[in-house]
Amino acid sequence: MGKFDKFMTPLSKWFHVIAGIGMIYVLLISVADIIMNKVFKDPINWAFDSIGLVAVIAIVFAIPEVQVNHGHIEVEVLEARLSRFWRKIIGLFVNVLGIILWSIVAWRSFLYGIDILRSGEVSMTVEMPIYPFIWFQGICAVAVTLVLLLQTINHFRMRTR
Amino acid sequence: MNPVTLAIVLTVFMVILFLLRMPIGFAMALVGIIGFSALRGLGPGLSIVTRDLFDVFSSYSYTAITMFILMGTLAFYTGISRRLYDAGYTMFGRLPGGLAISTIAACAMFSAICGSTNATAAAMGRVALPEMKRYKYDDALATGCVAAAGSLGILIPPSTIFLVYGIMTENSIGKLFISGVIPGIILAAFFAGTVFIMTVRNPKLAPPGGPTTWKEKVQGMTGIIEALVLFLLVILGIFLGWFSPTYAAAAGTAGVIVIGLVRRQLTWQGFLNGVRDAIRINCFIMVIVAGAFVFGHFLTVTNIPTMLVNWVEAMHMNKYLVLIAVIAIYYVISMFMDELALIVLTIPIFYPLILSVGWDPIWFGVIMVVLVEMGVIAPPVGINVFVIYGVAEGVPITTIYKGIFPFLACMFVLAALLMVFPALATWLPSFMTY
Repeated sequence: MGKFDKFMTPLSKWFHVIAGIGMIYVLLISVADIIMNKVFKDPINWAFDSIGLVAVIAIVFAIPEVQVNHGHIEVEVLEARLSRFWRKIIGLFVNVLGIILWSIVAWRSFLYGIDILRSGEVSMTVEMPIYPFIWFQGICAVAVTLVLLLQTINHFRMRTR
Repeated sequence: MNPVTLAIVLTVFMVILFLLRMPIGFAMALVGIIGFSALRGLGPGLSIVTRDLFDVFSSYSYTAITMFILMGTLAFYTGISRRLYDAGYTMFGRLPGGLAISTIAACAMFSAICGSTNATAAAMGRVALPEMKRYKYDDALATGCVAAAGSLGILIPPSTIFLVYGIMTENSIGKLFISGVIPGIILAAFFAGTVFIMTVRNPKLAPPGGPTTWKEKVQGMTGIIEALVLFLLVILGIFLGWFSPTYAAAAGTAGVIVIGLVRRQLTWQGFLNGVRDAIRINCFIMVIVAGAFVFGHFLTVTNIPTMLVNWVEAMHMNKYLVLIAVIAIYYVISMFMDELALIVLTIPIFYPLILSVGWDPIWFGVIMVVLVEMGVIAPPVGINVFVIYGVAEGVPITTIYKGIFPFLACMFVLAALLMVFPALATWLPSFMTY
């Protein structure tokens, strides 16, 4: 278990760094395109396509780390009124549902990416390949599934102690 | 199972998942998969989630949200929030309740460069609350005013909620942004007036601050000027058609970085912290939007939005009655749900209805944002209240809730004013031709 934990925590952090690089890329390309367009009247023709696709990286690579820190928005109305036992049971149930959801996303993202690769679908303006970005989504969904699995196991261990 | 019954059952299940503390975005996506699979088959149901997630995450329009969030977080680490507060203090500090009024003014100005309620509340709370504590302000007034004024972040442009509403309903983002200006200023004035009246009636609530020199007043103005320049760059950029919302936000973010570098207040660590905060906020926002899209797809195949419109048309219901019913529903749901989740979940249902009875879509966007503002401070799930609870060390959450009620009343008055005088929201957008 310790090894799994030691693997997932830095992995999520590295993914977070990749998301940050994606975000800075979106900023830099947007500003560069503004300057090229407004000052030199020569817009970057691949800016539009690449901003949309790299935005995927800025989002999906952040999901595992946000999950590690329980940063996704949740409603905390009922939980405080429940006993510790029921909180544990509900936490377990919710995590299992999350694992099912992200497993589906991971599995279907890889299949969807293969479909797109085979059909040769590319971005509209400069015909950038789309499938790698769909696979990035799949890879990150695997990471989220593993984070949820880790949290579920930790949850269970704490309960049985 | 009949699609309508299925939709009702699954919506109840989704609310139960919310209450069991499943992340909102996850719950909406999961229920959307189940519903879509039940009506269209397992294969399409499982595929829809991947496609919807990718379509939302790779949408160029939504990158504007990413950039506006980055602009807001970097503005905090550049010290802009601090300077705005100082500027407000030099102008209003000597008045009864002057620090609270300064905070409201600073929140209104910070809202002009930050499009999120909780980011505005957190940024200003960290600056203003220690000062108000130092001057022995009443805890309820101090925390209540920051929580409420923080909600101006989504009414005064740029606004993430207007962005999402505009993209989902295919309305002009520029018109929506500009429509929030007058109501935002009015609401800030109402908040300030409320604080003034409260403190005149009970001076112990908020002792006046210390005097400021003319030099300090002039220095304070520079804080306003830089925020004003950024606001004009973004809003005029969109208003005059220079930039798309994404590029306007990127230009604003670049402006914040330039200000930070020129003033030597943006360190490398501050920049990294700003990016890190923006990644986190952007991630949970986009997961909610994507989850709502999956759920929205399910609702579309149930045909409920169309049935609702047909039903209201068949009943020949008065348009004011429809509006009041929709407002009541929004107000109740907003007390329990995150602002963004509320918008993305309800727009597919209520927007066609509102249009069918003849309400202006831009005006409705403003009304909806005001209702959402109430939701972010109203008990039991006021997100801004939780944010301030985290920032204001040692203040019980019940005290913060006690403090927000006068400001909640101001929002009700604004909503009523907008219903009586729709031009407050529609006059400025009428000058835009696209």
